[in-house]
Amino acid sequence: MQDLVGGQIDLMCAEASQTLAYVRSGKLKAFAVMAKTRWPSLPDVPTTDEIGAPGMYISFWHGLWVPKGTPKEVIVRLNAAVVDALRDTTVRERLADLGLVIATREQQTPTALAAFQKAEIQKWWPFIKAANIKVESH
Amino acid sequence: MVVPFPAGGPTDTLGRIMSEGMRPSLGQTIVVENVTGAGSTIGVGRAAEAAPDGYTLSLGNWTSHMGAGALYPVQYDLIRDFEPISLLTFAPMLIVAKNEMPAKDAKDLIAWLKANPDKHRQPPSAQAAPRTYVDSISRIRPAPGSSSCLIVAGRRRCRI
Repeated sequence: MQDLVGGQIDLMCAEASQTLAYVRSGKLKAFAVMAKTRWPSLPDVPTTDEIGAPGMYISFWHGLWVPKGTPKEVIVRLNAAVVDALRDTTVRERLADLGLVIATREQQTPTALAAFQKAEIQKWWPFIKAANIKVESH
Repeated sequence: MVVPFPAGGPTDTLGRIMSEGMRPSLGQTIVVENVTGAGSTIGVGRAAEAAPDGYTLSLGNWTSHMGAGALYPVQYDLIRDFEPISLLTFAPMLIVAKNEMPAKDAKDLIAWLKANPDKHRQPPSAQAAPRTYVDSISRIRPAPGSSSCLIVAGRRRCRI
């Protein structure tokens, strides 16, 4: 992001929340939001559908995990702490200020995350692998 | 809470908000540790090897807990080596350019990319996977009347 703002790179696909302050202050130009609907935080930016790239959507999600073998009761307790946090007004306001959409209560479960993560892997890995990326180290 | 991305970034910010928000319920403080490198796989690997006692949490996202698993030769399995706790947030991706970019709108941008297939520089690291997806889907969905595509697939390489 710093390289983009500094002009060392020309363009990127960036997770929306990290761009918001820069776009609002005129340091970056936003061309499209890669979603079905416009993003409430930048309502003037068109969707990929609108600019002629239909179906080009990426939802940049976040989740929380623990190492395999963590006791069930600990998982239940940690999940309850997440649910409590995501219900808290201050937390919700801070996340909304960043332009983040909070997972629904139904999505705030270990089984929902497991199913979602598996579906995402099945959806994207074929694309990523087909792109045959070479990772360079510096 | 192992955050596999640098301090100050979006995942780190979320981690700090969540750790604070979870504190009252847990009755203890969560310390955020930024373990970066190799496109997030070092931090995720650290969490995968940690003792499964509830004192190590692995915060992650599209890249770390999905995309990077297809890009890097990792020693862990994203499904087998972790227990999920919860989905947290969603945000769209934006196509953004530096302010000096001559294109005024998306149509201009597509024209500029077609005119400058080797000139544009795309970013390294964490966003590489989504960007690459753009490259590959562009080949699947070429712009009408052209063999070129929305984001020119020019260089399918990323740096870390």
